[in-house]
Amino acid sequence: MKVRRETLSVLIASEALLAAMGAMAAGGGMRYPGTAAAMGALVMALPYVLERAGWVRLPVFVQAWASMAIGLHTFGLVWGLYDGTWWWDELTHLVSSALVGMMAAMALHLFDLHSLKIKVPRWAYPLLIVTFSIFIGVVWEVAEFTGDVLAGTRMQYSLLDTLSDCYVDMLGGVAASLLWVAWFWRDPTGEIGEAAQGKLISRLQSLF
Amino acid sequence: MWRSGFRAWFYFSVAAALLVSVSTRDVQWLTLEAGIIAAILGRYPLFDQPEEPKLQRPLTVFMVFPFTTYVLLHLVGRGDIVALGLLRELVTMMATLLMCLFLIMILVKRTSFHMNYRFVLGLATVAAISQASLFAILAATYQMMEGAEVSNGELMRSLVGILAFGLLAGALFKRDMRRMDYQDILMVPEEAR
Repeated sequence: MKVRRETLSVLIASEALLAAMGAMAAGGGMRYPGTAAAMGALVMALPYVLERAGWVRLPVFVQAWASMAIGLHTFGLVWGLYDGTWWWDELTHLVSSALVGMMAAMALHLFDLHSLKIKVPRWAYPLLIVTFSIFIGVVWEVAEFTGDVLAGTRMQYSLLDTLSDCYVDMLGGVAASLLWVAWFWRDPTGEIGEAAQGKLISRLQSLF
Repeated sequence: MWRSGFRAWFYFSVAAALLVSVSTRDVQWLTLEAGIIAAILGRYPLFDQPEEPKLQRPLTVFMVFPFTTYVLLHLVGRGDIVALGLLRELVTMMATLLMCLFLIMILVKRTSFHMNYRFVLGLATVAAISQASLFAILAATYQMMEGAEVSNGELMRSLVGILAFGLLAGALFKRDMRRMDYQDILMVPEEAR
């Protein structure tokens, strides 16, 4: 299936940035930031792959937001900002949890549009987005803890750090729900309504 | 017969659990009991669901087990035994899942919010894990503000337990729900389409 020029632009820009940061990390012998850059590059290829395969056309704004979330995380790792700048961790958590909230809202909206049995009224979105943001935030903290225990990654610093991460994740969920209710719901560019493509629509209808 | 017996058992176990929660000032369980009582007062047909007869028995077993076990664990009072601690975490997540399930079902039945059971159970599991995690986070914050010794490891072990037992509770319930067919148990009314 034909891929939009905007998707290709976001892909090239984000892959170039991540490759540069990955090379810098590898050159400096930083293993974990290098791995994070490689993983980020793989994740950022997903919107292109899904659009090419005819599953989903993610709105450009969401792709750019995802690129920003992964870029900020990798940048912070390569430049050691997580250790030296107290608010960097909060910033990346806020941006990432808002992204998760937006993706959850979009997924619900697509269910609403394309499934006969699932109908989500507008008032339910903020509730569901915040619930999902807390859930993903907890999953993320558990993953960090597991990494620390099993591989010594040292991603969690203290109780205060974990608690503030959890609260910022909730804040990101609230921000995403406000954005959704105030703006995305109207779908001014029509990108959200047309995001699901043939294969995904038939899958949604057969499963739900 | 089994229905009226379970009904009496359920009300008795919730009432006993309420007494235990009040006496131990267990805010999390008080919230769960308040939610279940709200579901009863919200006139959700807990025991008489003519349109969902196959849901009746697994749901009823799920209703009496956590509250009864919670009261029994309080009577036994051996919080230092690891197995009992794990059982307490499991029943807490089962009760949380049950409350979320009821509240979502009330929304589904009484508002324009519509879902099938597969989606309802998935959402209830996510909501239960989020709610229990929120309690754990708030409790750790409160303890830290009070100057008590709380480590990051303790909070994380608690969150790992919530996640694992939340998924287990969802899987236990799904095991029973698998016997049901998923064919339009909650039908979407024509006007909602």
